[in-house]
Amino acid sequence: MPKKVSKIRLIQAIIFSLWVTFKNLFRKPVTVQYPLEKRPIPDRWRAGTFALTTDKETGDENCIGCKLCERICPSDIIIVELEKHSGRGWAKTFILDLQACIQCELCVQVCPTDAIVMLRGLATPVANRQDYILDKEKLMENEKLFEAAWAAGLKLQKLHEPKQTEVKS
Amino acid sequence: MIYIQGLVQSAILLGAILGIVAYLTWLERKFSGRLQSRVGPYLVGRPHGWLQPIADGLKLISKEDITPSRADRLLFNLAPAWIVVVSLLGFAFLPLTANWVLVNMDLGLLYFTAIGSLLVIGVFAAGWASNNKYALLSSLRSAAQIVAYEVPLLLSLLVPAILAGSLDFKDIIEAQESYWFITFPVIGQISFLIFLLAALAESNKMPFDLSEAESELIAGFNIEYSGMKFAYFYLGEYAHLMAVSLLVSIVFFGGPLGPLLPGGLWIAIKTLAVFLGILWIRWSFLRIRIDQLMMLNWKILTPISFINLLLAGLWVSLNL
Repeated sequence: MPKKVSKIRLIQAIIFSLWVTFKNLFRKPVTVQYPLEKRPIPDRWRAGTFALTTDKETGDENCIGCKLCERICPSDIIIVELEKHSGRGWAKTFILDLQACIQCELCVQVCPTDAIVMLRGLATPVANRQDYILDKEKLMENEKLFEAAWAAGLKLQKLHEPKQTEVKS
Repeated sequence: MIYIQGLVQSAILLGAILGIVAYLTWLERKFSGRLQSRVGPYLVGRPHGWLQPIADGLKLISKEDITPSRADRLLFNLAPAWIVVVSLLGFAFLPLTANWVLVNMDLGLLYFTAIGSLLVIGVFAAGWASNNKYALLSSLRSAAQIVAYEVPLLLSLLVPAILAGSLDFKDIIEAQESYWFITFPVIGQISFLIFLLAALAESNKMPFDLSEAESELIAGFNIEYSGMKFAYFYLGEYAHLMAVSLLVSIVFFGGPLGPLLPGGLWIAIKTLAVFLGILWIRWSFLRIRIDQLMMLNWKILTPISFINLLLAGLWVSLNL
């Protein structure tokens, strides 16, 4: 049996619902006309595509080809090939398939050199599926196109660290 | 000669109605948008999307016209035409000013309601002929609903007729010289409310749109229709809604009567106000269940309208 509702309550509800729509009539619509006007992107926004950063002083790329991001990626979309020369590792290829990315940010969180970052900006839609498979060149270019998000690997790792207990001597 | 005159007049009326109906769809979209704090059509025709109905019409004309292979071809193609013709026929009997009416008839009110109730045939034919279970279910619901709500609709319309002592629209308008029937204490308001509810149910509008019910029946009886035939249903629906608003403004709000402005303008203003009121009701409520719909009709509206009619009859007969 459905619960009985009193008649007065029903009439109240009818009048209330009419009143709600009536109030809206004299209010400015809340719609944001998206392509014409854009809402400001929040400070801590990170979503969309990725970028590979370069060192600002020397101009070298930060990625050392450690494959941590490849390991942790839940949807297995990152492929890194390691190459060693001049005293450190480099990523020979770095492929990121954005079609299956779930935006979990784990790759950013594990990166020991702040090499891969998410971006503070909206990813532009593409017409071709191939364009969603980002190779190293595209990732490097993304760094120039967008602003990097506040969150980078080392910063996030510091946040997740256990609190240092001070040893009393 | 008189035939040619009638033909020309009806052609003018038809054109005007079609144009107005096209813009009523735009008005509804704008108005319902504002009721829900949206903007409504915006981009086609820059200030407020005023070209939208024309763009819609062009789109619908250019769509492919599909007749399902298992459908009953004759009925399938006849139903949209039937609906448009029937809902446009109603306008012939409605006076647009105090003395301009296409067909002047003693039984105008009765004739109008009779024609309005023929809509159900078109709806049912559409649902039956498309050979689709959703369409059939929807048209069954719609038939039940329209036939049931015919009773309070007519009974509540009889109240102004009794107060005016005539079924002729002209007499009804003349009887409202001193007061509009909506202002008649209790009886007038109750019959107005019942008529509004019944008319909403008749034209399958929002709180009673069981025959459309997107969530259950996808689109209802017009599910198999495409292109211009679909547009005919749309056109018929809005023409019927406009005819109902016109009827309400004539029967309850005194039609062309009013100070200062000419009668035609008054009737336009009143019709528009009633139309917007119907839209306001339509966009404020949720759809009710079919058993609730029938309960509302048979247990509440019909007895109340009977009592109302009785009271009106008593008042008139005791006053004479």
